Amino acid sequence: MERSDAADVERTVRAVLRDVLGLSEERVEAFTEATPLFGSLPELDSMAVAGLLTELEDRLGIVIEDDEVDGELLESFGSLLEFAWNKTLI
Amino acid sequence: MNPAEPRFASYAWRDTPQPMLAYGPADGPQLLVLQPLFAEMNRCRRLIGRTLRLLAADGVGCWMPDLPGCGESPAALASIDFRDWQDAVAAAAESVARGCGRRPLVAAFRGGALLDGIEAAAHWRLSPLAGRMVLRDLVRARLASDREEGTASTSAAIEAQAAEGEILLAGYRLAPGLSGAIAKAGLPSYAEALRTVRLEGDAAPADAYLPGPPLWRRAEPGDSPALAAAIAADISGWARAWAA
Repeated sequence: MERSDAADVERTVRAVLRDVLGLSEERVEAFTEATPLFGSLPELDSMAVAGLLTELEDRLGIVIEDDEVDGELLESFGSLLEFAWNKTLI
Repeated sequence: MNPAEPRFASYAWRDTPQPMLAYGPADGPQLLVLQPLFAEMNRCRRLIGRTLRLLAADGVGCWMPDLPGCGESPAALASIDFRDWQDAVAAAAESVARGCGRRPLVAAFRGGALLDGIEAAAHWRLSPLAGRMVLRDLVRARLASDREEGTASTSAAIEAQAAEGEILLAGYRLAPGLSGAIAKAGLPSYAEALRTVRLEGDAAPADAYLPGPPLWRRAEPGDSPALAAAIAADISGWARAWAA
């Protein structure tokens, strides 16, 4: 695993959150692994979850199965990032 | 009157007038605009409206039909199947051809490209996607709302239910003849010229990549004057090359 690959994936995940949820660049850049997502971002409702997952699939070239979408996936920015890393880098 | 402001026009589908917005001059290049499907249509309404105003001001005539059961159409969506939409697009193209004396070019956004099976001098597409991906988004939205309400379901169960009867997906009541056909619908291929445009960051092949946000994914309708300007510039250059 190259470090730059992990950084690319992180950049893509931040860009998808910004683009799909309509968040500002500054707001998304300030996200840390501990930043809570689902339930804490009013922009992230169930319709937005669907768009977010599909856009991640398109940009990362991955497929996200139903059973992978549980409460933990979108709990925090860290959990979403870890999921994306596991899907792309392993 | 500002020439870039839209006029209300219509086209006949099954002898019933269906709404169509017209922008710009009736001479020069004429463009039939196919909107994205379902929620994406609403999310892109402002973007496409802006784009068509820019094209109109630039001398490109634009015609944007509402499909039966969509937008301002008086038809009930639950009574519509995929063939009805294909027929409606053909009828709208005929209506433009009769009014302007020439067949329009076609510009299709997202899932609208699935319906561009008509004869045209050339076809332009923004971020097209296969029908099964359109259905997948609807099913996924339904899954997410089911989960929010505490109902356990799966994509397979929802798709099976859609095949059997009318189903409510992401707020749209769909007949089996529509959801099933969309699931199978592929992007038409043409003997004529095709230009495909996508957004920067998209890994899929395209003739050009434009900078801007995928507004069709936004849960809240968004806006991007810069993306509208980039789309209008791309379509304008392409339409003029074909009209020349």
